[in-house]
Amino acid sequence: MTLLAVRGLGVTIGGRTRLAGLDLAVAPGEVLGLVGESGSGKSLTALALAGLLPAGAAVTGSVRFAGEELIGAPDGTWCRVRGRGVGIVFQEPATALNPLMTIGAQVAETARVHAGCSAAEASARAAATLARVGLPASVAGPDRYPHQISGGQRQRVAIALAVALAPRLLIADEPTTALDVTTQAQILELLAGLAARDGMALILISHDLAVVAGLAARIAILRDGRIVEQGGTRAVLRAPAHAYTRALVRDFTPRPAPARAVATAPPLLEAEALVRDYRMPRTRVFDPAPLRRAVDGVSLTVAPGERVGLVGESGSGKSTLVRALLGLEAPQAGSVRIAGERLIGASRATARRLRRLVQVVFQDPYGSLNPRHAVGRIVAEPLALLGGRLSGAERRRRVEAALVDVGLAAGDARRQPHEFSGGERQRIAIARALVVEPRLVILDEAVSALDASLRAQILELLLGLSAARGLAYLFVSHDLAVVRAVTDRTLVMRAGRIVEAGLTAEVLDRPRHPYTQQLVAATPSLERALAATGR
Amino acid sequence: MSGAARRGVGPGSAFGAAVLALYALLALASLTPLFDAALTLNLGARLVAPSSQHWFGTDPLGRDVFAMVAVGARTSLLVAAGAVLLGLLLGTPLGLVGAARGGVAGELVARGSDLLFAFPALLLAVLLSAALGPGALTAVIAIGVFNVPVFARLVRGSGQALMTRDFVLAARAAGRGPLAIAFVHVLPNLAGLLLVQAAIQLSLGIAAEAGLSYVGLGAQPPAPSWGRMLSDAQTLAGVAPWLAWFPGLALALAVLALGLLGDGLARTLDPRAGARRAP
Repeated sequence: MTLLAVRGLGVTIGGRTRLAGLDLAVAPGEVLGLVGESGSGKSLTALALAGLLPAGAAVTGSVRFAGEELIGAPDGTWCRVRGRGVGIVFQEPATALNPLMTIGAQVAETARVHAGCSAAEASARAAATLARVGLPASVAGPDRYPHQISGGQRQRVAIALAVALAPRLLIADEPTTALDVTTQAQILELLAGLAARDGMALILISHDLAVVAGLAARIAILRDGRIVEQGGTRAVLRAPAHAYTRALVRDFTPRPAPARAVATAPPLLEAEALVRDYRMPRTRVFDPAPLRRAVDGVSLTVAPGERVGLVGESGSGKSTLVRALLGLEAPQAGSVRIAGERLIGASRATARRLRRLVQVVFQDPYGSLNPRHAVGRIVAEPLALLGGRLSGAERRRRVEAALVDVGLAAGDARRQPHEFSGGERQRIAIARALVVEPRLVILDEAVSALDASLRAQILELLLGLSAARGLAYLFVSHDLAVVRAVTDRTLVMRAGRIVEAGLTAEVLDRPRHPYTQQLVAATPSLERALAATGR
Repeated sequence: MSGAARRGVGPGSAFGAAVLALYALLALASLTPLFDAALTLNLGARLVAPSSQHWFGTDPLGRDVFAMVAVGARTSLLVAAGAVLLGLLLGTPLGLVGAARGGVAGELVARGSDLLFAFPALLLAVLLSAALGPGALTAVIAIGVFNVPVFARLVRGSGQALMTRDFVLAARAAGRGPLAIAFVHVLPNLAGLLLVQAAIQLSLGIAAEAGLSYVGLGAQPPAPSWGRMLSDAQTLAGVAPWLAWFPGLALALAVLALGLLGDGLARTLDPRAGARRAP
């Protein structure tokens, strides 16, 4: 017996076909994984199944939930099905909750509206539901507001909202993508527990094959709004029938970088006992503002040609450290030396000379390029570091050379950033870093926003550039697999401190610090998930 | 292609733009000698009701009200546009400095704006006209001074948000100074916002100019202006109501049209405005 039967589901928005011919079936208590890259139509599928498509979307085909046809059904039917029949959890827990209502009141509201119970009953039910998702009053009382709890706890509240009425199907759209790996592991455990204990069916939507493989018995691979392959998770991922699935599986786990010896040389970048404090909002009017130590006595070195990884979860102080290393924020104590010279407190001319040696690539390829500037102008910007001596022709030559180096065309200099895809934009950002021929590039989560296939291409590009020019990297990431694929040496950062450092293979294979061990254990691995017995 | 171009303009902003164009045309036409004749005293045709000869009727001195409204449009638009320009030219750089510098300079811009906002506009206009003598230029300055903090605040607030974006961080890593970043990176990203605010300030400026000339602090006689026409019409409202109707209508229409234009522009330029969810 099937709980949800989708036949030939198609969605057209503004004349563009976004989903076509989708066939899916979910049995009660079953976990179905829906995998695809960005733009494949994953989220749209979730919205279509919950009847939450934007106005103007034309839907065709059939969606039967517990035998009842939902396509073309009146709003009343949808309202009944949503909440009691189908619960939905979105990616971003921060925006899914009302900031002005306590978490208890939000869960109680759902119970009151749908189950029609009294206020007292509703709050009792809310407390029970919050306890069920691992938020008993002893951890986070129902009188807390969303901003008073952590991101992982917020996602638990969002799940509580979705499961408050014990729906028979839960749709979770990238429920852990915005979370750290250790939190992600807990949320996945919670979802698996809810499905197993309550016999609730689960559609888990994700770009992360390892997350899906760890939870879903069956998997469907979505590409450009169509399902290219579906079947048992292990069968599909072990022996993909479709070329696209094969590429997806291949690119998902980047190949570890071969071990290599880096010649010992005086360090190119050297930080010593860096400290960076932030002033927090005052808690009382006349008290001094409390300080938060984001970077707490960090020392590190990067040798010429060396590729160093910096691993840590959000809030560990990675990005603050990066800004201090670049001299964009002044640390309260400690020093940064580039090629032996002090960067902090250096004269303008010296700072310019040193900055030329160290360039940066940021995470978000959409935010890091000024949308109003042409690509050529964006890439040319760091050339100011060389002083104003370059002729127009020379500038153009360098910009075009940098674009070609990163796999773009020289003519792309005249185009606008919005004409490029995310992967191409990240190439533009790399070209901007390379245009002054630096010796070290700091990559701050530079591949984290990219799909696996694009990520594989960018990693290949980065490795090639490093090998060809002896370029050193400080590779900042939360993703252990990517760090393993690029770096020689790895530093693990937690709460502003470096807790472990060593050769990448050693740190990740034989972690010594308990935090590193926890991090490695929590990181989902496709290989481990597929090897696990029981499916 | 940008989202704005794809969505096109709404009926409101199209109407606003059309009315604005009509006023501009009228203002231009008022420069022709045809209007000079209509504006000379003609005591033989005093207080004529609207007719095919005099579309909007005539005033107690026999001047054609239509011609006066047209010339008034010129005064209104010029004064309001001058005031907006003054606000843009002074307020934008101030706001940029405030956004880029933070600290004392930023606070100075913000608190200075607050201080200016706290001043009653009419009081300042009275002070200025006492110092400079009443007239169109005084009106431009009096209204323009109040546009400065509007633009300064807008630019500072939105600029601060842009300052935290990665492309600004990237520019700093590329060795750009804060002022260069403000003008090269931040300002172009504020162009749409400034355009919308300019349309809104223009509409407010037209109303303010009418208000100033109503109390005799705007353009001086014999130059016609909507505000003074309204004030002159008061005593004759029972005898010649058209004297109040037409300048009043012209004023209301201008303010409405610019308000609609500003709203429409804001919606066209804001990519989030288009998406709406089904219930």
